[in-house]
Amino acid sequence: MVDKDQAPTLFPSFNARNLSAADVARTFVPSENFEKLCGQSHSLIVGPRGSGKTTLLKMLQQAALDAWKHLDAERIRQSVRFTGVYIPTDVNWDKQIAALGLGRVDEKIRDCLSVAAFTTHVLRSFAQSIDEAIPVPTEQDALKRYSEAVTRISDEWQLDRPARSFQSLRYCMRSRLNDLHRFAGQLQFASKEEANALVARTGWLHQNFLELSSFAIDVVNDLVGNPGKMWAFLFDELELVPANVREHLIACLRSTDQRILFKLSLVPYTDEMSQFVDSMQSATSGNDFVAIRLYYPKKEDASSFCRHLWHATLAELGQPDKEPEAVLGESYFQSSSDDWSKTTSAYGSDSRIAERFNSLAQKDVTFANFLKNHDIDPSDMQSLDGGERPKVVRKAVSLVALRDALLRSVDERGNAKLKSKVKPELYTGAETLFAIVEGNPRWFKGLLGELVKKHGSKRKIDVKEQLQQIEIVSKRFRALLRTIPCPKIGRQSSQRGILLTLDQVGKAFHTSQVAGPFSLDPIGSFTIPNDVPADLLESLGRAVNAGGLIHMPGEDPVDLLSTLRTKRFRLSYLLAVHYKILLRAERDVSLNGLLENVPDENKPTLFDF
Amino acid sequence: MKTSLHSLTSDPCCKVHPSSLEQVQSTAFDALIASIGFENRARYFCENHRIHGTKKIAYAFTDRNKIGFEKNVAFFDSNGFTIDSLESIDFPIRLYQELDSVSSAKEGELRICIDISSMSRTRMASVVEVALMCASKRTVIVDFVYCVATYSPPPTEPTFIETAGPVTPFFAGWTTRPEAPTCAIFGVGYEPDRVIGAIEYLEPGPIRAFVPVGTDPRFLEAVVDVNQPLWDEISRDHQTFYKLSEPFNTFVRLESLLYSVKQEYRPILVPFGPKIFTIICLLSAVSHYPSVAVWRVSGGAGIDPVDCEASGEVHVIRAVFDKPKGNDLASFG
Repeated sequence: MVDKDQAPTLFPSFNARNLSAADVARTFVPSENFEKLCGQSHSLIVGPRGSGKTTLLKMLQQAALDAWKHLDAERIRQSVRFTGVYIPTDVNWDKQIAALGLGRVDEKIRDCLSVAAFTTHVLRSFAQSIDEAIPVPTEQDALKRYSEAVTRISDEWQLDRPARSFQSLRYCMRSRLNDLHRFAGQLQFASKEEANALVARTGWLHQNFLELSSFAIDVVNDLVGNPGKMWAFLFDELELVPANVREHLIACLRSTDQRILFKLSLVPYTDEMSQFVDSMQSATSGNDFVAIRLYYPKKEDASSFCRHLWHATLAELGQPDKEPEAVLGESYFQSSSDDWSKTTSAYGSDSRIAERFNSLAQKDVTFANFLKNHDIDPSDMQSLDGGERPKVVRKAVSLVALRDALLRSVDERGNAKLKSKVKPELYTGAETLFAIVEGNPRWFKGLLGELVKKHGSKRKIDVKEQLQQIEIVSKRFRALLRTIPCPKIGRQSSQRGILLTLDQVGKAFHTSQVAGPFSLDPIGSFTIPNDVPADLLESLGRAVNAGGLIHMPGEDPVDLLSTLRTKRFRLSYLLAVHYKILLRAERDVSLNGLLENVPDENKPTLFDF
Repeated sequence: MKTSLHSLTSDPCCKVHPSSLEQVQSTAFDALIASIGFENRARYFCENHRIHGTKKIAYAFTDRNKIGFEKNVAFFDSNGFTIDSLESIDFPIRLYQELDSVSSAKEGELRICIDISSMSRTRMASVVEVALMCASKRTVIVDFVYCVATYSPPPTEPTFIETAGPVTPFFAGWTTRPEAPTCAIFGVGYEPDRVIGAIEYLEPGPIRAFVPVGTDPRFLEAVVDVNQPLWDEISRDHQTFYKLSEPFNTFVRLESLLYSVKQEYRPILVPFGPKIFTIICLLSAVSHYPSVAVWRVSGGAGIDPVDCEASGEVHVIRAVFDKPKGNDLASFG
């Protein structure tokens, strides 16, 4: 256990939060979503952990754009018409803000303190962005104008002493954070009346970041001779900001100052989602509103991005550039290129597909009956034309591949016997690995980045090595989900982790897809009913935000999750591998139906192969 | 104010020293504090060592009336202890009132002995806060006593995390650089996946681990075994093995680490494992106030209690709390 001297290798170390703007830029791969984000519009990015929200926002900082080297960099840099002000947060800062006053001051005062902390933090970030965007002039007159501009801003921001440069303005705001903490601690010495009076007469506690920023923009834009210059406030991970601060921000989002853009990132599900969307849509006069989803209901949607990431990863690690299939092989579920070379159809009698159809029909009585009922001869599938039969065959291909790989036999009543050993190649190959990482850059690095680091791209990476890395990542992800509490369900006597609930869902999907009679339309997704208990809903929401459940939205581009009720979800494909199910959504059922027969907790419930 | 507590200030003053069972046995304490929970270990120290306390109080938990609870109550009741059964939220006020009354009745420094072996992390944090409050009137010297448990196998099933946050608001810490990465420093215990879950929750930058080493080698084996995925996360240089028998040495090592990491990062201490490491974290955070946070990541009420018997080993660490260098509100506004 202690033999490793290498740097940390799994998920947290890939978190862009801990990287400088230049470091983020160094390995950044642009996407269609990034180009959308670069537009002159208010934007809301939603995605689970690791989906790249922080990376996208950090890339909008001047320092990141300047440092970025990529074929598309210059073109995209030119398209960015604003200066980004990145405002980070995290769970630590959230708890620190919430603890101001040590829980011993009135709620009203505590709210005032936390909004003041947030305001100071935003202004400090703004001062930093101005400092990075506007160098200190050397020419005497220009320096005088620069210094006067800073002084005017520091007066408006109610600093004790005027700052002389934007850098010192930034340091002043750091000092103010210190003052705020001391002030909050000392308030405890005061009676309620004294505390209220002290808070009331401390002017800087009641400032509004938007008004102060707007004033600073007037001054700075005047200084640079560009009155219409735009600034984008990039608020990252807003779900981690205390609730009262979020309310304050939602109100500010209604600003109609056309020099200010808001670009926010959030987890996929929050019950305040509709408030954020409404506020941003109401503030769009002159500026559009764009919603960007960083999760991919259909695996095909993430495939192209993953290919870009693949080539960027090889370049970053100094490996020869090769197509992913050349290193990882083809997916088990794809029709083989050999199949196409032998005949004009992937369904020819000696194709891999035909072999699997034949193989399954011999051991699965329910599938043999299915073929018979549909008048399909596995040895003669390429001649099927017209009607429903070709569609049926195409739809069955992946399911047949899965069942053939996993089943030993199925009798007429649908009683299935599973193979004791599963082919390692089942969940390997380029497209399958891309599906498993769900277009999530952090998962990509944890799985594919690590594979390339370990094995390089000079030779094909063995399926067993691929599987081993999948298991490492999957185990880690399951450990994370296990820590999310879930209320008791069914006959369970105590509260458990949400993972056991997801396991229950996964088991039901597996039974429908594999360990039961063949059905062309098995279940593989679920809808959360209206009557789901609130505490279970909360746990499911956390699983969605962790990336364990993927929302299957409708066609509406702003179909974001203000509620989970009546919405459809699938399991993350990283979990699907554990449950041995298809990497596609399949038909949905009500979640209630899946959880109705939760067994007693003393009986084995984990799905174990 | 809602309470009559004297409040904490921005500049708490605490110095930590080595101590020992022998020193504790030869000291006349103004107050001897114990806890009553389900662990049989709760009464071991007072049952097996003659400790002088002018005032003796055993604070009982209201939600842990299982396993050894009744025996613990019977012991403390028949040995001159005042038993105070209370919710944890009331603990700091009641403890402060008791210590304040002891303090009012004497001159000079206040000497307290506290057995933390069966105390919750939240109550331990409250003890430190109360000691800081009492120190506004006079020097408070506290010997924190820890009885090592006998080995019992780790739980086989991982458990969910119900609570994750600062152990109390005072220990939330503060920063003037919210953009700086967090550095998480874990005390490793043997709850499966607990540290990994906390890492995923906190998403820290660098990670450091303090790994406990007791007399019984099975502890270390179990800790290493249940935390297998963690060893891929933390390079060997960033793992510190600490001996339960050397709490002051551990304090020094942790404090030194904090000095180095806090220049660049925002440190969070997350003490799992033996309680002695929790008190070391709390005292270190006071020394670095307010830049270091101490968090509690726990499974909450869903966890079944497991008994702990004392092994016979007793270790002590001492903290001296002095009058703080407070700030005047007049300097604000």
